[in-house]
Amino acid sequence: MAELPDIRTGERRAEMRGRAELYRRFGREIFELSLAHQRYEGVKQVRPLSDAEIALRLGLTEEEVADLRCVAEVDQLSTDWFREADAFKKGRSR
Amino acid sequence: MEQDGDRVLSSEEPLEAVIKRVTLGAGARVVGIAAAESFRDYAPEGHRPEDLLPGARSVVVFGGPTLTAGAWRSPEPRFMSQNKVFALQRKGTAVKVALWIEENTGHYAVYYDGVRESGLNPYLSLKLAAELAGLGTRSLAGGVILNPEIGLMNLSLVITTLALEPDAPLSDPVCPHPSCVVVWEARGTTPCLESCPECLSGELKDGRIDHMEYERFRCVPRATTAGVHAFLKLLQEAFALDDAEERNALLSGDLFTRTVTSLGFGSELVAGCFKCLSRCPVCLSGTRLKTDVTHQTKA
Repeated sequence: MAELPDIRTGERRAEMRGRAELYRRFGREIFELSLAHQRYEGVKQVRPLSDAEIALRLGLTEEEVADLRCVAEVDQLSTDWFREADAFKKGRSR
Repeated sequence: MEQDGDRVLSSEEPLEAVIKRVTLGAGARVVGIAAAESFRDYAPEGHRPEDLLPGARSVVVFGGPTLTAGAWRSPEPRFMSQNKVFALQRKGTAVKVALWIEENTGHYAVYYDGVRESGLNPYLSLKLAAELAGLGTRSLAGGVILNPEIGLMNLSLVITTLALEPDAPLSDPVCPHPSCVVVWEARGTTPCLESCPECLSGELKDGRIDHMEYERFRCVPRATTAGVHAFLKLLQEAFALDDAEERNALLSGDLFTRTVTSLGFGSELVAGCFKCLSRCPVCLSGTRLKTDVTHQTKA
């Protein structure tokens, strides 16, 4: 059986450390520019930026933006919001 | 299917009408056609029909009811999500339409029903497609498309290299409903805005939507309470706990257990709270039972 790479050391660790650093610098901005907030003038949507367009603006690669946006989409959620939503749904059924 | 296609193609019926008939016959309740190039004014590069099918000329967009009419009236939101209608049919409909186009017109077709490309982002906006194909207009409830007949729709589409005459977007907005305009003028709110101020905001002006905002990330916990993001957040919370008994209480508790069940069986992956639309007059009207039924029971 092939030996599994150790994520605590080596290139993968360096990659994750680099990604974490990028997230600290750009995570919030990527989130704000993404589809997380959607605005409409009348019924016309103010066109959101794609990952490629955000990448161009921030000097990152599209792949980096997509990855950091996914992290931000989870990070910006509060666990309590899920519990509150669950309680709301249970409450409505009683 | 091929025989039906041969029969209808030999008639004088326009191809657009034939494809719409095939789509409705395959289970859709509403159908419209958008020109692929019309997406360019609204969707960024990478999220247009030609990005999914080179040479795309047309998009056949179709939809059906989200839930049974009875489910809209259920007091149990989780049970509502387990009474999905078109979400369970749409892939079959899309496959039939795509294959019909390929087998009867000699043009390529691909179908898409909203699978996410990355994180919460779709490959293509189904809402935009429905809007361009004239199936409905944006609503104050997060910009979801409301159809004048069935209200909230569940959507799917087929992209094809076949050139078809497109339908026009609806000229009259479905939202706001006249009764919502009355409520707005009296109280400065609408049923949907009042129901979910965390996710939605906006204003009406002269009986029309002036502007609106939708906080998608606030909607995620409500619409997918036991979905992928719940799993990730609860797991992170468990990792942060030092105490094994506390971790056990979290991971074996009701919400996490249901979340894992949901991931395994798809039971509650998308389980909208429907809070914003449960009092929407367009949706309530669209889910009212018909009175001209063929089988009447005694009173």
